[in-house]
Amino acid sequence: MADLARARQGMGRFCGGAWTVVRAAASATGEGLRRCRFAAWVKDCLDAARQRNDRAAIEETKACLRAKRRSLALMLSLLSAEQREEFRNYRYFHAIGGRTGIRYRIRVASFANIDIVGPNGRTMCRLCAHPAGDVPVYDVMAAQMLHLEDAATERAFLRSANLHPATSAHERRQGWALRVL
Amino acid sequence: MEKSGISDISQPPHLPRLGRMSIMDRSGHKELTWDSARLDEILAAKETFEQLVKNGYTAFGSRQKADARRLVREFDPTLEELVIVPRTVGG
Repeated sequence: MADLARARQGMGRFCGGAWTVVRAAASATGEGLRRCRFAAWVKDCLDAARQRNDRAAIEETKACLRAKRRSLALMLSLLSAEQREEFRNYRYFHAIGGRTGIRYRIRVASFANIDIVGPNGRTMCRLCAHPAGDVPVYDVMAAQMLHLEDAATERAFLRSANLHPATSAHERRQGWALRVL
Repeated sequence: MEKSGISDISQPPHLPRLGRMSIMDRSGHKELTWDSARLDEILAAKETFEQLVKNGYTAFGSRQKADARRLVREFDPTLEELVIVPRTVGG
């Protein structure tokens, strides 16, 4: 009976007023038949809901992959031949600041993915700024490159970016652990 | 027939036949193309461009695909490629 009550509560969300109809029908028949029909109905509803959810999840995944492919194609079309080659080999590319001449390394990541590269080639600090909205990661990288390479927009981009230390907290912890060991 | 320098200058400037606007969004990007010979398409592209710029988007464009993209403040139908980027926010 507890299961039946739980199912009834759950079905209230899915079917709304349909429960009233089932209750009325059940009162006219025997208890066993009523339970059996109700259980079958609950199962059908749950199966249908599960199928709808699965379909929605598959569609969402497909749309996400499609968006990623499209954004990758756009980004590759915007990169220079050297940048494209670098990206294919290392999953990052370098961009030179249009105004400051600073060398940036743009990596495939969703957070703090721009390294400011010092003259010795080491990362001095990291920047985090990205286009508003839920745009795919390669669109984010392309937008960052366009802003940084243009003399008119680099400063504004740097002003809006958040600055992060060169190493992440995880890397710092790892370094500390190694020193302790 | 050999072309003289004067005849070269008198040629109309090269206009790309088709311009393409890529607008970044969550689907990757949306594309809008216009034919530089068709006024209605140019006007539609100009209207979209102005609307997006008004909403905080930034436009980068180039006359030829191989050229570096530069900031574009006003719509130019002679551009071959335009990339419209949403407003930047700090992460």
